[in-house]
Amino acid sequence: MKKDEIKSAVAGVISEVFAEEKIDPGMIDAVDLADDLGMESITFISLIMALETKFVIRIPDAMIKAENFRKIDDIVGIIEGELTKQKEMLSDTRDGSLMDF
Amino acid sequence: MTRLEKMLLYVSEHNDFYKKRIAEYGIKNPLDITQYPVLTRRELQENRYNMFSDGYKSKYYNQQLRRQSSSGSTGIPVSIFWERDDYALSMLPLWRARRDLHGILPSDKVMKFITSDIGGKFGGGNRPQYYFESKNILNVKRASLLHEESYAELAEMIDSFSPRWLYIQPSVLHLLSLCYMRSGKKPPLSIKYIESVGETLTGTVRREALDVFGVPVTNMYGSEEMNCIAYECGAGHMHVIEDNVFVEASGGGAGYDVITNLCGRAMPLIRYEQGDTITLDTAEGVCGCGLGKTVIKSIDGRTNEKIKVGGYELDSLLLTSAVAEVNNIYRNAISEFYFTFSPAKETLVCHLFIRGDERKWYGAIAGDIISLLRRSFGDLKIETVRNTEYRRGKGTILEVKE
Repeated sequence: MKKDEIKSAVAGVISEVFAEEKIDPGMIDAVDLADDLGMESITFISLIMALETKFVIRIPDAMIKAENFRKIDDIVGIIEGELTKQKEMLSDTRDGSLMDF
Repeated sequence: MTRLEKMLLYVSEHNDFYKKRIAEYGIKNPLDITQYPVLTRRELQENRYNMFSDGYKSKYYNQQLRRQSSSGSTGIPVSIFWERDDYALSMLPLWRARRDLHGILPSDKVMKFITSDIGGKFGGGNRPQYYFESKNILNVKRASLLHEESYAELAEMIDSFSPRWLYIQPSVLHLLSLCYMRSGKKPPLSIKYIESVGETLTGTVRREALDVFGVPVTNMYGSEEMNCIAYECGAGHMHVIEDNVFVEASGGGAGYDVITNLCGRAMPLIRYEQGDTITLDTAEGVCGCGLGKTVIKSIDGRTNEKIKVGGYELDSLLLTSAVAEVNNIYRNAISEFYFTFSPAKETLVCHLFIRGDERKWYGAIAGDIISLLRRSFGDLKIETVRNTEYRRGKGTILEVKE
Protein backbone atom coordinates (compact mmCIF):
# COMPACT_ATOMS: atom_id res chain seq x y z
CA MET A 1 0.00 0.00 0.00
CA LYS A 2 1.41 3.40 -0.94
CA LYS A 3 1.83 6.16 1.63
CA ASP A 4 -0.81 8.40 0.12
CA GLU A 5 -3.26 5.48 0.06
CA ILE A 6 -2.52 4.79 3.72
CA LYS A 7 -2.98 8.46 4.56
CA SER A 8 -6.29 8.61 2.73
CA ALA A 9 -7.51 5.50 4.57
CA VAL A 10 -6.33 6.86 7.94
CA ALA A 11 -8.12 10.14 7.24
CA GLY A 12 -11.28 8.16 6.57
CA VAL A 13 -10.92 6.30 9.85
CA ILE A 14 -10.36 9.53 11.78
CA SER A 15 -13.42 11.10 10.16
CA GLU A 16 -15.54 8.09 11.14
CA VAL A 17 -14.31 7.88 14.71
CA PHE A 18 -14.70 11.61 15.22
CA ALA A 19 -17.83 11.90 13.06
CA GLU A 20 -19.51 14.33 15.44
CA GLU A 21 -16.64 16.81 15.03
CA LYS A 22 -17.23 17.12 11.25
CA ILE A 23 -13.56 17.55 10.41
CA ASP A 24 -12.78 19.66 7.37
CA PRO A 25 -10.77 17.29 5.11
CA GLY A 26 -8.54 20.21 4.12
CA MET A 27 -7.55 20.70 7.75
CA ILE A 28 -6.81 17.08 8.63
CA ASP A 29 -3.04 17.58 8.52
CA ALA A 30 -3.21 20.32 11.12
CA VAL A 31 -5.71 18.68 13.47
CA ASP A 32 -4.49 17.49 16.86
CA LEU A 33 -6.84 14.68 17.91
CA ALA A 34 -6.29 15.37 21.62
CA ASP A 35 -6.20 19.16 21.75
CA ASP A 36 -8.65 19.92 18.95
CA LEU A 37 -11.01 16.95 19.07
CA GLY A 38 -10.82 16.06 22.75
CA MET A 39 -9.68 12.45 22.23
CA GLU A 40 -10.36 10.57 25.49
CA SER A 41 -9.99 6.94 26.57
CA ILE A 42 -12.97 5.54 24.68
CA THR A 43 -12.27 7.51 21.48
CA PHE A 44 -8.62 6.49 21.69
CA ILE A 45 -9.66 2.85 22.00
CA SER A 46 -12.15 3.34 19.14
CA LEU A 47 -9.38 4.79 16.97
CA ILE A 48 -6.98 1.91 17.69
CA MET A 49 -9.70 -0.68 16.99
CA ALA A 50 -10.77 1.08 13.78
CA LEU A 51 -7.18 1.28 12.51
CA GLU A 52 -6.50 -2.39 13.34
CA THR A 53 -9.71 -3.44 11.59
CA LYS A 54 -9.11 -1.24 8.54
CA PHE A 55 -5.51 -2.33 7.95
CA VAL A 56 -5.78 -5.88 9.38
CA ILE A 57 -2.89 -5.33 11.76
CA ARG A 58 -2.34 -5.43 15.48
CA ILE A 59 -0.74 -2.29 16.85
CA PRO A 60 2.00 -3.29 19.33
CA ASP A 61 1.50 -2.50 23.00
CA ALA A 62 4.58 -0.29 23.05
CA MET A 63 2.91 2.02 20.50
CA ILE A 64 -0.39 2.28 22.41
CA LYS A 65 0.13 5.80 23.71
CA ALA A 66 -2.29 8.62 22.98
CA GLU A 67 0.71 10.85 22.30
CA ASN A 68 1.56 8.71 19.22
CA PHE A 69 -1.91 9.17 17.77
CA ARG A 70 -2.44 12.91 17.89
CA LYS A 71 -1.50 13.85 14.33
CA ILE A 72 -2.38 12.07 11.12
CA ASP A 73 1.22 11.91 9.86
CA ASP A 74 2.31 10.16 13.09
CA ILE A 75 -0.49 7.65 12.69
CA VAL A 76 0.42 7.06 9.06
CA GLY A 77 4.00 6.40 10.16
CA ILE A 78 2.87 3.76 12.64
CA ILE A 79 0.58 2.05 10.13
CA GLU A 80 3.27 2.10 7.46
CA GLY A 81 5.71 0.53 9.92
CA GLU A 82 3.32 -2.26 10.86
CA LEU A 83 2.37 -3.00 7.26
CA THR A 84 6.05 -3.19 6.33
CA LYS A 85 6.74 -5.58 9.22
CA GLN A 86 3.76 -7.67 8.16
CA LYS A 87 5.01 -7.79 4.56
CA GLU A 88 8.48 -8.82 5.73
CA MET A 89 7.06 -11.59 7.93
CA LEU A 90 4.95 -12.89 5.07
CA SER A 91 7.88 -12.92 2.70
CA ASP A 92 10.13 -14.57 5.29
CA THR A 93 8.58 -18.05 4.98
CA ARG A 94 11.66 -20.24 4.90
CA ASP A 95 9.72 -23.39 5.56
CA GLY A 96 6.94 -22.37 3.16
CA SER A 97 4.29 -22.18 5.88
CA LEU A 98 2.05 -19.15 6.49
CA MET A 99 2.84 -17.03 9.55
CA ASP A 100 0.12 -16.59 12.19
CA PHE A 101 -0.87 -13.09 13.22
CA MET B 1 10.64 -11.51 29.23
CA THR B 2 6.94 -12.23 29.79
CA ARG B 3 4.38 -9.49 30.45
CA LEU B 4 4.24 -10.64 34.06
CA GLU B 5 8.01 -10.41 34.47
CA LYS B 6 8.01 -6.95 32.87
CA MET B 7 5.42 -5.74 35.41
CA LEU B 8 7.33 -7.29 38.32
CA LEU B 9 10.56 -5.73 37.10
CA TYR B 10 8.79 -2.39 36.81
CA VAL B 11 7.42 -2.42 40.37
CA SER B 12 10.75 -3.59 41.80
CA GLU B 13 12.43 -0.57 40.22
CA HIS B 14 9.76 2.14 40.25
CA ASN B 15 7.32 1.56 43.09
CA ASP B 16 8.27 2.26 46.71
CA PHE B 17 5.36 0.25 48.15
CA TYR B 18 6.53 -2.89 46.34
CA LYS B 19 10.22 -2.20 46.93
CA LYS B 20 9.42 -2.13 50.63
CA ARG B 21 7.42 -5.32 50.31
CA ILE B 22 10.29 -7.01 48.49
CA ALA B 23 12.63 -6.06 51.32
CA GLU B 24 10.18 -6.93 54.15
CA TYR B 25 9.32 -10.33 52.76
CA GLY B 26 12.89 -11.14 51.78
CA ILE B 27 12.00 -11.65 48.14
CA LYS B 28 15.20 -12.88 46.49
CA ASN B 29 13.93 -12.92 42.92
CA PRO B 30 11.57 -10.00 42.20
CA LEU B 31 10.61 -11.63 38.88
CA ASP B 32 9.14 -14.67 40.65
CA ILE B 33 5.46 -13.92 41.36
CA THR B 34 5.18 -16.76 43.88
CA GLN B 35 7.51 -14.95 46.26
CA TYR B 36 5.19 -11.95 46.60
CA PRO B 37 2.62 -11.85 49.42
CA VAL B 38 -1.06 -11.53 48.61
CA LEU B 39 -2.37 -7.95 48.63
CA THR B 40 -5.69 -7.74 50.50
CA ARG B 41 -8.45 -5.25 49.88
CA ARG B 42 -7.88 -3.80 53.34
CA GLU B 43 -4.17 -3.27 52.54
CA LEU B 44 -5.10 -1.59 49.27
CA GLN B 45 -7.48 0.71 51.08
CA GLU B 46 -5.00 1.58 53.84
CA ASN B 47 -2.12 2.20 51.43
CA ARG B 48 -4.03 3.89 48.67
CA TYR B 49 -1.82 7.00 48.71
CA ASN B 50 1.42 5.03 49.12
CA MET B 51 1.03 2.76 46.15
CA PHE B 52 1.69 5.21 43.34
CA SER B 53 4.70 4.40 41.17
CA ASP B 54 7.40 7.00 40.61
CA GLY B 55 6.03 10.16 39.03
CA TYR B 56 2.38 9.24 39.37
CA LYS B 57 1.54 10.88 42.66
CA SER B 58 1.94 14.31 41.05
CA LYS B 59 -0.29 13.16 38.19
CA TYR B 60 -2.84 12.11 40.80
CA TYR B 61 -2.77 15.55 42.41
CA ASN B 62 -3.05 17.17 38.97
CA GLN B 63 -6.08 14.95 38.21
CA GLN B 64 -4.36 13.44 35.22
CA LEU B 65 -5.21 9.87 36.22
CA ARG B 66 -8.40 7.94 35.63
CA ARG B 67 -10.12 6.70 38.78
CA GLN B 68 -12.13 3.50 39.12
CA SER B 69 -13.90 2.73 42.37
CA SER B 70 -15.34 -0.43 43.78
CA SER B 71 -17.05 -1.67 46.90
CA GLY B 72 -17.53 -5.14 45.52
CA SER B 73 -19.23 -7.73 47.63
CA THR B 74 -17.04 -7.12 50.68
CA GLY B 75 -18.25 -3.68 51.75
CA ILE B 76 -14.69 -2.32 51.67
CA PRO B 77 -14.56 0.57 49.17
CA VAL B 78 -11.34 0.96 47.17
CA SER B 79 -10.21 3.27 44.37
CA ILE B 80 -7.67 2.45 41.69
CA PHE B 81 -5.93 5.03 39.53
CA TRP B 82 -4.85 4.49 35.94
CA GLU B 83 -2.60 6.28 33.50
CA ARG B 84 -4.95 6.80 30.55
CA ASP B 85 -2.67 4.97 28.10
CA ASP B 86 -2.44 1.98 30.44
CA TYR B 87 -6.21 1.97 30.80
CA ALA B 88 -6.52 1.77 27.01
CA LEU B 89 -3.96 -1.05 26.95
CA SER B 90 -5.93 -2.87 29.64
CA MET B 91 -9.26 -2.52 27.80
CA LEU B 92 -8.02 -3.36 24.30
CA PRO B 93 -7.93 -7.16 24.76
CA LEU B 94 -11.61 -7.15 25.75
CA TRP B 95 -12.55 -4.95 22.81
CA ARG B 96 -10.58 -7.15 20.43
CA ALA B 97 -12.43 -10.22 21.77
CA ARG B 98 -15.78 -8.46 21.37
CA ARG B 99 -14.86 -7.51 17.79
CA ASP B 100 -13.37 -10.86 16.77
CA LEU B 101 -16.08 -13.06 18.29
CA HIS B 102 -19.18 -10.88 17.91
CA GLY B 103 -18.38 -8.00 15.56
CA ILE B 104 -18.94 -5.44 18.35
CA LEU B 105 -17.02 -2.16 18.05
CA PRO B 106 -16.58 0.81 20.43
CA SER B 107 -18.67 2.91 18.01
CA ASP B 108 -21.71 0.62 18.35
CA LYS B 109 -24.72 1.81 20.32
CA VAL B 110 -24.78 0.33 23.80
CA MET B 111 -27.03 0.55 26.83
CA LYS B 112 -24.96 0.09 29.98
CA PHE B 113 -26.31 -0.59 33.44
CA ILE B 114 -24.19 1.29 35.93
CA THR B 115 -24.08 0.33 39.59
CA SER B 116 -22.71 3.55 41.06
CA ASP B 117 -23.28 7.18 40.27
CA ILE B 118 -19.79 8.56 40.76
CA GLY B 119 -19.97 12.19 39.74
CA GLY B 120 -23.71 12.55 40.31
CA LYS B 121 -24.56 12.38 36.62
CA PHE B 122 -27.85 10.57 37.03
CA GLY B 123 -29.85 12.98 39.15
CA GLY B 124 -32.69 11.85 41.39
CA GLY B 125 -36.30 10.73 41.28
CA ASN B 126 -38.20 7.50 41.33
CA ARG B 127 -38.15 6.78 37.60
CA PRO B 128 -35.35 5.00 35.75
CA GLN B 129 -32.43 7.39 35.72
CA TYR B 130 -30.10 7.64 32.78
CA TYR B 131 -27.70 9.90 30.93
CA PHE B 132 -25.95 9.87 27.58
CA GLU B 133 -22.22 9.41 28.03
CA SER B 134 -22.00 10.02 24.28
CA LYS B 135 -24.36 9.78 21.32
CA ASN B 136 -23.86 6.00 21.30
CA ILE B 137 -23.58 5.19 25.01
CA LEU B 138 -26.70 5.34 27.17
CA ASN B 139 -25.99 4.70 30.85
CA VAL B 140 -28.87 3.57 33.05
CA LYS B 141 -28.59 3.66 36.81
CA ARG B 142 -29.21 0.11 37.87
CA ALA B 143 -30.29 1.21 41.35
CA SER B 144 -33.14 3.29 39.88
CA LEU B 145 -34.92 0.17 38.58
CA LEU B 146 -37.05 -0.43 41.63
CA HIS B 147 -40.45 -1.64 40.47
CA GLU B 148 -42.12 -3.58 37.72
CA GLU B 149 -43.11 -0.24 36.17
CA SER B 150 -39.41 0.68 35.99
CA TYR B 151 -38.81 -2.25 33.66
CA ALA B 152 -41.76 -1.35 31.46
CA GLU B 153 -40.29 2.14 31.12
CA LEU B 154 -36.86 0.62 30.51
CA ALA B 155 -38.29 -1.48 27.67
CA GLU B 156 -39.60 1.72 26.08
CA MET B 157 -36.17 3.34 26.42
CA ILE B 158 -34.58 0.34 24.74
CA ASP B 159 -37.11 0.56 21.92
CA SER B 160 -36.43 4.24 21.45
CA PHE B 161 -32.63 4.03 21.66
CA SER B 162 -32.33 0.74 19.71
CA PRO B 163 -28.90 -0.27 20.99
CA ARG B 164 -26.77 -2.86 19.23
CA TRP B 165 -25.76 -4.38 22.54
CA LEU B 166 -26.48 -4.43 26.26
CA TYR B 167 -23.92 -4.36 29.08
CA ILE B 168 -26.05 -5.71 31.89
CA GLN B 169 -26.16 -7.53 35.21
CA PRO B 170 -27.93 -10.92 35.21
CA SER B 171 -30.43 -9.77 37.85
CA VAL B 172 -31.47 -6.85 35.63
CA LEU B 173 -31.51 -9.02 32.50
CA HIS B 174 -33.76 -11.52 34.28
CA LEU B 175 -36.32 -8.88 35.25
CA LEU B 176 -36.12 -7.24 31.83
CA SER B 177 -36.72 -10.59 30.12
CA LEU B 178 -39.70 -11.26 32.42
CA CYS B 179 -41.09 -7.82 31.57
CA TYR B 180 -40.95 -8.58 27.85
CA MET B 181 -42.45 -12.04 28.35
CA ARG B 182 -45.35 -10.71 30.42
CA SER B 183 -46.11 -7.81 28.10
CA GLY B 184 -45.77 -9.86 24.93
CA LYS B 185 -43.69 -7.03 23.42
CA LYS B 186 -40.59 -7.81 21.42
CA PRO B 187 -37.26 -6.02 21.97
CA PRO B 188 -35.79 -4.18 18.98
CA LEU B 189 -34.03 -6.29 16.38
CA SER B 190 -31.07 -3.92 16.66
CA ILE B 191 -29.81 -5.89 19.68
CA LYS B 192 -27.20 -8.35 18.46
CA TYR B 193 -25.12 -8.97 21.58
CA ILE B 194 -25.66 -9.11 25.34
CA GLU B 195 -22.74 -9.02 27.74
CA SER B 196 -23.43 -10.22 31.28
CA VAL B 197 -21.35 -8.55 33.97
CA GLY B 198 -21.02 -8.14 37.71
CA GLU B 199 -22.90 -11.19 38.99
CA THR B 200 -23.03 -14.94 38.54
CA LEU B 201 -24.86 -15.75 35.30
CA THR B 202 -27.24 -18.70 35.65
CA GLY B 203 -28.57 -21.03 33.01
CA THR B 204 -32.09 -19.77 33.68
CA VAL B 205 -31.18 -16.16 32.89
CA ARG B 206 -29.35 -17.26 29.74
CA ARG B 207 -32.35 -19.24 28.49
CA GLU B 208 -34.80 -16.45 29.26
CA ALA B 209 -32.63 -13.92 27.42
CA LEU B 210 -32.20 -16.20 24.43
CA ASP B 211 -35.98 -16.70 24.22
CA VAL B 212 -36.71 -12.98 24.49
CA PHE B 213 -33.82 -11.35 22.62
CA GLY B 214 -32.88 -14.13 20.24
CA VAL B 215 -29.18 -13.62 20.96
CA PRO B 216 -26.93 -15.64 23.27
CA VAL B 217 -25.59 -13.99 26.41
CA THR B 218 -21.80 -13.69 26.70
CA ASN B 219 -20.34 -13.75 30.18
CA MET B 220 -17.61 -11.27 31.09
CA TYR B 221 -15.86 -11.57 34.44
CA GLY B 222 -14.12 -8.41 35.49
CA SER B 223 -13.78 -5.82 38.20
CA GLU B 224 -13.24 -2.10 38.63
CA GLU B 225 -9.75 -2.91 39.94
CA MET B 226 -8.70 -5.11 37.00
CA ASN B 227 -11.06 -4.41 34.06
CA CYS B 228 -11.63 -7.65 32.12
CA ILE B 229 -10.35 -10.79 33.86
CA ALA B 230 -12.02 -13.48 31.75
CA TYR B 231 -14.29 -13.64 28.70
CA GLU B 232 -16.57 -16.33 27.44
CA CYS B 233 -15.75 -17.85 24.07
CA GLY B 234 -18.29 -19.27 21.64
CA ALA B 235 -17.93 -22.68 23.23
CA GLY B 236 -18.85 -21.34 26.66
CA HIS B 237 -15.38 -21.38 28.25
CA MET B 238 -14.26 -18.43 30.39
CA HIS B 239 -10.78 -17.65 29.11
CA VAL B 240 -8.46 -15.53 31.22
CA ILE B 241 -7.51 -12.41 29.26
CA GLU B 242 -3.79 -12.96 29.53
CA ASP B 243 -2.81 -9.69 27.86
CA ASN B 244 -4.41 -7.90 30.83
CA VAL B 245 -4.11 -10.10 33.91
CA PHE B 246 -2.28 -13.02 35.48
CA VAL B 247 -4.65 -15.13 37.55
CA GLU B 248 -3.90 -17.57 40.36
CA ALA B 249 -6.17 -19.41 42.78
CA SER B 250 -5.13 -19.28 46.43
CA GLY B 251 -5.27 -23.04 46.82
CA GLY B 252 -3.47 -23.90 43.59
CA GLY B 253 -6.21 -24.94 41.18
CA ALA B 254 -9.09 -23.61 43.26
CA GLY B 255 -9.56 -20.95 45.93
CA TYR B 256 -9.77 -17.18 46.21
CA ASP B 257 -8.71 -15.47 43.02
CA VAL B 258 -5.37 -13.71 43.30
CA ILE B 259 -4.83 -11.42 40.36
CA THR B 260 -1.94 -9.37 39.01
CA ASN B 261 -2.72 -6.64 36.53
CA LEU B 262 -0.21 -6.53 33.69
CA CYS B 263 -1.01 -3.04 32.39
CA GLY B 264 -1.57 -0.62 35.29
CA ARG B 265 1.67 1.13 36.22
CA ALA B 266 0.28 4.11 38.13
CA MET B 267 -1.04 1.93 40.97
CA PRO B 268 0.11 -1.63 40.28
CA LEU B 269 -1.86 -4.51 41.77
CA ILE B 270 0.39 -7.52 42.35
CA ARG B 271 -1.29 -10.67 43.68
CA TYR B 272 -4.42 -8.79 44.64
CA GLU B 273 -7.07 -10.88 46.38
CA GLN B 274 -10.14 -10.02 44.33
CA GLY B 275 -12.49 -11.78 46.76
CA ASP B 276 -14.20 -14.35 44.52
CA THR B 277 -13.70 -18.10 44.66
CA ILE B 278 -12.59 -19.65 41.39
CA THR B 279 -11.41 -22.90 39.86
CA LEU B 280 -8.74 -22.67 37.18
CA ASP B 281 -7.91 -25.08 34.41
CA THR B 282 -5.76 -25.13 31.32
CA ALA B 283 -7.49 -24.58 27.99
CA GLU B 284 -5.30 -27.26 26.43
CA GLY B 285 -7.50 -30.19 25.57
CA VAL B 286 -10.53 -28.18 26.72
CA CYS B 287 -10.85 -25.40 24.15
CA GLY B 288 -8.88 -24.59 21.03
CA CYS B 289 -10.47 -21.20 20.28
CA GLY B 290 -7.19 -19.37 20.94
CA LEU B 291 -8.69 -16.77 23.29
CA GLY B 292 -6.39 -17.70 26.19
CA LYS B 293 -4.46 -20.63 27.61
CA THR B 294 -6.13 -20.62 31.04
CA VAL B 295 -9.84 -21.02 31.68
CA ILE B 296 -11.85 -20.30 34.78
CA LYS B 297 -14.10 -23.29 35.29
CA SER B 298 -16.20 -21.74 38.03
CA ILE B 299 -16.61 -18.36 39.72
CA ASP B 300 -18.41 -18.02 43.02
CA GLY B 301 -18.99 -14.85 44.97
CA ARG B 302 -21.01 -12.40 42.98
CA THR B 303 -24.61 -12.94 43.91
CA ASN B 304 -26.98 -10.11 44.47
CA GLU B 305 -28.56 -10.67 47.88
CA LYS B 306 -32.20 -9.60 47.90
CA ILE B 307 -34.89 -9.15 50.54
CA LYS B 308 -38.52 -8.31 49.78
CA VAL B 309 -39.89 -5.66 52.09
CA GLY B 310 -43.44 -4.51 51.53
CA GLY B 311 -43.61 -3.32 47.94
CA TYR B 312 -39.87 -2.94 47.63
CA GLU B 313 -37.00 -5.23 46.95
CA LEU B 314 -33.83 -4.46 48.87
CA ASP B 315 -30.85 -5.71 46.99
CA SER B 316 -27.19 -5.47 47.84
CA LEU B 317 -26.22 -3.81 44.54
CA LEU B 318 -28.68 -1.00 45.12
CA LEU B 319 -27.53 -0.46 48.68
CA THR B 320 -23.86 -0.65 47.69
CA SER B 321 -24.33 1.96 44.99
CA ALA B 322 -25.95 4.38 47.44
CA VAL B 323 -23.00 4.10 49.82
CA ALA B 324 -20.53 4.40 46.93
CA GLU B 325 -22.12 7.66 45.76
CA VAL B 326 -21.87 9.22 49.20
CA ASN B 327 -18.36 7.82 49.76
CA ASN B 328 -17.25 9.54 46.58
CA ILE B 329 -18.50 12.89 47.87
CA TYR B 330 -16.70 12.44 51.19
CA ARG B 331 -13.42 11.34 49.59
CA ASN B 332 -13.54 7.69 50.59
CA ALA B 333 -14.16 8.38 54.26
CA ILE B 334 -16.05 5.08 54.59
CA SER B 335 -13.65 2.21 55.23
CA GLU B 336 -16.23 -0.53 55.49
CA PHE B 337 -20.00 -0.90 55.43
CA TYR B 338 -22.76 -3.46 55.44
CA PHE B 339 -26.51 -3.51 55.96
CA THR B 340 -28.76 -5.48 58.25
CA PHE B 341 -32.52 -5.68 58.06
CA SER B 342 -34.73 -6.48 61.03
CA PRO B 343 -38.08 -7.88 59.88
CA ALA B 344 -39.50 -7.50 63.41
CA LYS B 345 -38.66 -3.81 63.54
CA GLU B 346 -39.00 -3.34 59.77
CA THR B 347 -35.83 -1.33 59.93
CA LEU B 348 -32.89 -1.23 57.57
CA VAL B 349 -29.64 -0.42 59.36
CA CYS B 350 -26.51 0.77 57.57
CA HIS B 351 -23.37 -0.04 59.55
CA LEU B 352 -20.51 2.30 58.78
CA PHE B 353 -16.85 2.29 59.72
CA ILE B 354 -15.46 5.75 59.07
CA ARG B 355 -11.71 6.37 58.76
CA GLY B 356 -10.21 7.89 61.90
CA ASP B 357 -9.36 11.28 60.47
CA GLU B 358 -12.81 11.61 58.84
CA ARG B 359 -15.00 10.62 61.80
CA LYS B 360 -16.24 14.17 62.19
CA TRP B 361 -18.17 13.63 58.95
CA TYR B 362 -20.16 10.67 60.27
CA GLY B 363 -23.35 12.69 60.84
CA ALA B 364 -23.27 14.24 57.38
CA ILE B 365 -22.41 10.92 55.70
CA ALA B 366 -25.18 9.11 57.56
CA GLY B 367 -27.69 11.83 56.62
CA ASP B 368 -26.76 11.67 52.95
CA ILE B 369 -27.00 7.87 52.81
CA ILE B 370 -30.42 7.90 54.46
CA SER B 371 -31.56 10.69 52.16
CA LEU B 372 -30.41 8.77 49.08
CA LEU B 373 -32.07 5.55 50.19
CA ARG B 374 -35.30 7.37 51.04
CA ARG B 375 -35.67 8.24 47.34
CA SER B 376 -35.89 4.54 46.65
CA PHE B 377 -37.58 3.26 49.81
CA GLY B 378 -39.76 6.15 50.98
CA ASP B 379 -41.58 4.70 53.97
CA LEU B 380 -39.01 2.20 55.15
CA LYS B 381 -37.32 2.91 58.49
CA ILE B 382 -33.65 3.49 57.81
CA GLU B 383 -30.97 4.06 60.44
CA THR B 384 -27.21 4.15 60.53
CA VAL B 385 -24.81 2.87 63.13
CA ARG B 386 -21.20 3.85 63.50
CA ASN B 387 -19.12 0.71 63.88
CA THR B 388 -15.93 0.81 65.86
CA GLU B 389 -14.60 -2.52 64.69
CA TYR B 390 -13.91 -3.80 61.20
CA ARG B 391 -15.64 -6.94 60.00
CA ARG B 392 -12.65 -7.31 57.65
CA GLY B 393 -14.90 -8.11 54.70
CA LYS B 394 -16.50 -11.13 56.36
CA GLY B 395 -20.20 -11.75 55.87
CA THR B 396 -22.45 -10.39 53.16
CA ILE B 397 -23.43 -6.82 52.30
CA LEU B 398 -27.05 -7.43 53.30
CA GLU B 399 -28.07 -9.63 56.20
CA VAL B 400 -31.33 -10.33 57.93
CA LYS B 401 -31.13 -10.02 61.69
CA GLU B 402 -34.12 -11.35 63.61
